[in-house]
Amino acid sequence: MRIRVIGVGTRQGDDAAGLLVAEALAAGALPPGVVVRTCERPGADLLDEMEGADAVVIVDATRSGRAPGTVFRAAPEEMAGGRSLSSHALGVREALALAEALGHGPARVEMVGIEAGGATRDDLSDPVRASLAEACALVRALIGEMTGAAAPWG
Amino acid sequence: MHEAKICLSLIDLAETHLTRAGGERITALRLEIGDLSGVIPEALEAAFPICAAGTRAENAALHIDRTSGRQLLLRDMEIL
Repeated sequence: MRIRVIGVGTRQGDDAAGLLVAEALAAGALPPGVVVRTCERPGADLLDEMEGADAVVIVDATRSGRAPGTVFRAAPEEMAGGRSLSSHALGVREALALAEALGHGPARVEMVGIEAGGATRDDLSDPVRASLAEACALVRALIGEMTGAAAPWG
Repeated sequence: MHEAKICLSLIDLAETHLTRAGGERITALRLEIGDLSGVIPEALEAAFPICAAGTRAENAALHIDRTSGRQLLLRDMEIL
């Protein structure tokens, strides 16, 4: 089973949370078949990252109204949508809808949201930084669930 | 999957023409897709509404003429 973990975001403040979780996971041990990627321009690039995967875990910062630093399994509509820069800048939501419409969507898509705090540039805000380990643990648990194995790694 | 990128590029192109023509929005697009173009018309049709959402081509009607050959052409468009 080909599982892909994709951290989405930018390097701007709390928006980097998804990228940092992916990087932390990639630095540790992972079960065979799991590949970790980062995607700083979701949309068409995210489609490329998902292609050929049986299951995907997308990790992204969210603005859902929860308390900053909250880690949760997100519904597609809670992930960033919108296309602020150009028509190439689709959000995660649109990318998933496209994959589905084109019949290339992974059989299983899980989304892990990390609620952003107030940091919009440079460093993470404290609650978000403190939640990264929890987000990594949730992704590992989801991988375990997908592979049907406990998580002896990492 | 590359139809999604092609669709985004087509919408970009159409919006460029729209701006040049001084129009406000695109109401219809007509494409010519050759059988050797490597583009699957059905996939492009499926991708279009999602790619067009939020652009000035939102809700535009998409007409595809299937031809023989390699070309993928933005043949004409209707604007307001």
